[in-house]
Amino acid sequence: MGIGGPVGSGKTALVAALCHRLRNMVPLAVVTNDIYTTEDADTLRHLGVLNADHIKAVRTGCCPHTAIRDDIAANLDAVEDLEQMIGADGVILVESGGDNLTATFSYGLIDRQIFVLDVAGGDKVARKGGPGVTRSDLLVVNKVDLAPLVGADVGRMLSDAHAVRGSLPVLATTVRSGEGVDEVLAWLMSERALSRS
Amino acid sequence: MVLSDGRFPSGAHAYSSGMEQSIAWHDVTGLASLEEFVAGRVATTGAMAAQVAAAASTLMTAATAPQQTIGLDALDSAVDARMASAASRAASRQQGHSWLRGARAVWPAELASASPLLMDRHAWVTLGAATAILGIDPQDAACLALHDLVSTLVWSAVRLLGLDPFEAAGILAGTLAGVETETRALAAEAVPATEALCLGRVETEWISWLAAPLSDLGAEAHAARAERLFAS
Ligand SMILES: Nc1nc2c(ncn2[C@@H]2O[C@H](COP(=O)(O)OP(=O)(O)OP(=O)(O)O)[C@@H](O)[C@H]2O)c(=O)[nH]1
Ligand SMILES: [Mg+2]
Repeated sequence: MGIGGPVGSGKTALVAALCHRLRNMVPLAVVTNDIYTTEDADTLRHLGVLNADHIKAVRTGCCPHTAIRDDIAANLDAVEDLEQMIGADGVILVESGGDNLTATFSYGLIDRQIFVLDVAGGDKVARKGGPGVTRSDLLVVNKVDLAPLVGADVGRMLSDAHAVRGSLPVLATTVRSGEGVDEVLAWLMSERALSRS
Repeated sequence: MVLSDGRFPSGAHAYSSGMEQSIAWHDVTGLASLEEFVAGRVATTGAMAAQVAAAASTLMTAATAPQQTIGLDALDSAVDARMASAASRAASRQQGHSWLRGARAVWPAELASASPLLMDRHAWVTLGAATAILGIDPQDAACLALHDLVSTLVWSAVRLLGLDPFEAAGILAGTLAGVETETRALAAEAVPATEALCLGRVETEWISWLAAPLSDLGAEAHAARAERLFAS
């Protein structure tokens, strides 16, 4: 499962929240593609959501979008190593480095992808579109709690998103308090069941 | 041409072959020092890369199957012995692995039967052997190895220092043009020198021992850093 989206939108927070819920349900591992350092991987290790050896950090050579889309070799190496450890039946969450609205995952690397926006980035973002917003398998609009503070109209964002995405799903979350995360989890599990059948 | 294209998905974009650390140490600060650095690596690592690629290529066309195994093992050990940094050795094997994955996906029929033989080897060994199977001769294999080395250095410097990409491409083109005759000569000499390996005799002393000790130290320092963008 790829998890992409702009810098700071809450990708790692979502990965951590999903790990908390998934770890007793399925074999689980995480790959991070931080643009700099191993920040995301370290965060997850410190949160103690997974065994340290079930989290791998990939170096992206200044180009996080290249590493998840055009040249997926290093990510495939990481995913294959983890698959060996947890089995083909497990779930591997691949977090992209924070990037722009055009950065999406290659389906040579992942089966499904979530694109995470946050309301603090401005409620225009869903309207602007780009492949992450229009084509991701699930669009998550995060940090709904911040909407009143930044003057963002969540309803508008959701309807803009639905307008450009057709029948593809959109969910609103406040990952920080856990709101909406169970819905993301339910979507993930149903997609997993579909891809296995 | 497909193999030497920087957009070929072999993982190469995330390697700097020591450039990131050289920049951190202020050894490379701009176009002039980049050009000097590249010249130094071409004269040292480059000579070994050209010879090893050409030798691996020769083995695949001139030796029987058991001798190919012995020969490639010997070349692998020769590279191990010539790369002082453990981090560089690991990066080289990882690159060989990723490169083979890409090549196998693109040419499954051609590379299927030789794949076990090419697995887990140094990048120059894999490159020389796999390209021979694809019909590329030892001299062109050596040129490909040089192209890979120089473009890794140049393009990682462009990303890290924000260099003018046109000037950088000029350095790439100029360096490769300047070194082509020498590279082809090294490869041509490697073909007869590989004769013993083709007969199963482990003779690799002739492979260049020229090295860049500061780069070896740099590779170790780089691997120990947390805040790095490149895999090497
Ligand atoms: N208020 C609020 N803050 C949140 C929410 N989700 C995440 N954050 C905070 O937003 C900041 C960035 O979150 P991360 O999860 O690190 O974001 P990211 O997308 O992984 O960031 P990069 O990997 O650097 O691109 C952190 O301080 C989080 O605590 C939320 O729902 N509400
Ligand atoms: Mg993150």
